[in-house]
Amino acid sequence: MPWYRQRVWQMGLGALMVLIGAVVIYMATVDDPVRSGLMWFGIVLLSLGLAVPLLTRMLEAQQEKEGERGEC
Amino acid sequence: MQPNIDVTFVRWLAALLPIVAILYLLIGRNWKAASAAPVGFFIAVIIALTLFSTPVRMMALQTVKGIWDALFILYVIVPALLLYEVSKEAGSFQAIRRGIESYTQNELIHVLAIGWVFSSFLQGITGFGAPAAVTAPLLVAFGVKPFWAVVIALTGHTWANTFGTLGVAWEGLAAVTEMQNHDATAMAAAVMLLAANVFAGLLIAWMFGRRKGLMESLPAVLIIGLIHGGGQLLLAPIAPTLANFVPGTLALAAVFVLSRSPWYRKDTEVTESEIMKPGELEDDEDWEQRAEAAVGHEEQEMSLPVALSPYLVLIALIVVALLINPVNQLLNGVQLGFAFPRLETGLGLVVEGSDPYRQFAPLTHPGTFLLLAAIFAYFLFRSKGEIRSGRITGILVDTIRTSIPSAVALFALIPLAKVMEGSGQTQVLAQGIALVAPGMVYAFLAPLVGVLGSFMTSSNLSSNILFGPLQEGTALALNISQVAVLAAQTAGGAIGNAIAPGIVLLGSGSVGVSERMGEIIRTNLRYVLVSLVFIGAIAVITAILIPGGG
Repeated sequence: MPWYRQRVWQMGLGALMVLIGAVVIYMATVDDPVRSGLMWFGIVLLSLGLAVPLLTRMLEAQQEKEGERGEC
Repeated sequence: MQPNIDVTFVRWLAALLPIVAILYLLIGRNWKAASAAPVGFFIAVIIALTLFSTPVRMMALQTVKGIWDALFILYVIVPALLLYEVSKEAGSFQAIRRGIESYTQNELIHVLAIGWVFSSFLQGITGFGAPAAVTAPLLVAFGVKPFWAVVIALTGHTWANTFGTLGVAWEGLAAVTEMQNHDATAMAAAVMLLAANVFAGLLIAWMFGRRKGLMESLPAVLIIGLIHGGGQLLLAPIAPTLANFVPGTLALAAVFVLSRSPWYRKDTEVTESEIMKPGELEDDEDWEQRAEAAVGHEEQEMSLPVALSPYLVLIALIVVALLINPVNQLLNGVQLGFAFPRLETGLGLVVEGSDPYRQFAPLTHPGTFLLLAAIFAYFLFRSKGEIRSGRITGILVDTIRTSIPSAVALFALIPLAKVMEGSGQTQVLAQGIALVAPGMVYAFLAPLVGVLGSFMTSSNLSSNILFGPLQEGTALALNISQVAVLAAQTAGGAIGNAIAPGIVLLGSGSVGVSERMGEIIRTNLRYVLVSLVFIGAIAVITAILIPGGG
C-alpha cells in the first residue's frame, strides 16, 4: 500500500495542517483589528487537520462495508 | 478574580458533554485517542460559541495556545521514542537482561528486577507504553506466564508515570493549571506515589510466592522502595524532570548489588509459584522469539556498560544543564515565546494577556537532552557494529510513525482543555460539583477522577491535561487545598494506567494474550483500588494540613 493511503501518514498530514492553521490563526488574530478572512482560513485548515482521523475512520468503515457487500 | 458564572443544569451538562463524548468513544466504542479527542474538541468549541458566549477570536487563540503547549510535550515524546527505537535496534535491552541474569539465578529477584525496577527505569526515560511492551516479553523470557507477565509489567511501572519521561505528565499538569504551590504539590504527589510504589513491589512479590514470596522480598522491596519513592520525594520539588529518572537509575544499580547480597545470591525459597511456569521456557521457542522481537536481536554481545551508556549520558546532560546554576542560566538565555492579547467572553470571564506566553527554552528542555542521548546512542551503537548501516531511515520512520497518533491526540486534547478553560466550561463543571460534594469527600475522591482520565486516554499526561483544570477549579470552589487535589489528580492518573485499555493492549499484544485483556484489567483493578484508598487518604491528610487556598 502506498504511504499516502496508510492511516498513520494521513494523520501526519492532518497534524501538519493543524500546525499551519495555528500559525495562520495567530497571525490573523494577535493584533487589532482582526483579519477575519485569514482567521477563518486558519480555522478551516486547523479543523480539517483535526478531522482527518475521523474522515479516515469513516472511509475505512465504508470500505469495509463495501467489501462485505462484495463478498455477499 | 473571575466572576461566578450562573450554573444552570443545562450549562453544566453541556460543559460535561466533551468529556463524556471522549469517554464514550474511547470505552464504549473502542476508538483510539487520536480519533476520539478531536470529537471532544469540536463539541467543546461548539458549546463555547453557543452556550458560553465565547467570541470566535478568543476560541481561536485559546486553541493556538493549546497547540503551542502541545509542541512542548511532543518535543519530549519524539526524542524519547527515538532513543527507545535506537536501543531496541541495537539490542541494548537484551544486554541489560543478560546483565541481570549473570548476577543471580534467584527467580524472585529476576521478577522484581524486570517487572518493577527495570520497567520503572524505562518509564523514567520513555513511557508511552514502552515499559509494558518491553518488560512483558522479558518476563516471559525469564519463565513468567504471559498473563502474569503483563499484569506484573503494568503493576510495576505505573507509579512512575507522573515524573517519568522526564516529568512530562507533571509538566502537563503545570501547563494547564495555575498551580499556586508548585513545590508542595510535587511533594504531595511524590508521597502518594511512594505508597503506590512500595505497594506495587509487595504485590508483585505476593503474586510470585504469596506469604513466602512477600517475606523473602522484604529487604529488596524496602531498599528499592526507599530509593524509588524517597529519591522521587527529594527531587520532585527541585528537579521534577529528574525525579523519576535518577532514582530509577540508582535502583537499577541497587538491584545488581542486592542480587549479590546474601539475601538473593542463593535460589529463591519459593518452590511453587502461580505466576511461574518452570521448564516451559525451554520448550516454547515461540515465546522466546516474541521476546526477542520485542527487545531487539540477540546475536551481538553488547556489554552492560555500553548498553547503559546512553542513559548515563542523558543523566550527565541533565545534571550539567539543570543543576549547575551558571550553566543553567547561560542555556536558559535562549528562549522563544509569543505574545497573546487579553481576551474576554460574553459572560465576563477574562483570560489575561501574556507577553510572552509560556516561553520555550530549547537548551534546557528535556526533549533536547533525550535527542542528544539518542544521537549519542546511535553513533555509539553504530561504531560498535550493533546497528547496521542504512538502518537510520527505518529507525526515524518508525519513530515518526509511532509519534503521529500521539501528536494528533495532543493537538486536540490540549486545545480542548484550553477552550474549556477559557470559555468557562471547566469553571462551570467545578462550580457544579462543588455545589453537591463536601470538601473532604471530594479530596478523597479526587484521585478517582485522575484514574478515570488515564483510563480514558491511556496517559497520565492526557489525564492531567483533561482534568487538571477541573480539579483545580473544584478545589477553589470548595475552598479545599489545591495542593492535595492536584497531587491526587496526577497520582490517580499515574496508577490508572495499570487498567488503561491502550496500555494493557500494548503489554498483552507483545506476548500474545490480547484476548485476556478484560481479565488483566480485572486483576489490576485490585492494585488500582487499594492504591486509590492510600492516595485518597493522603489527599485528605494533605487537605487538613494545608487549608483551602494553598
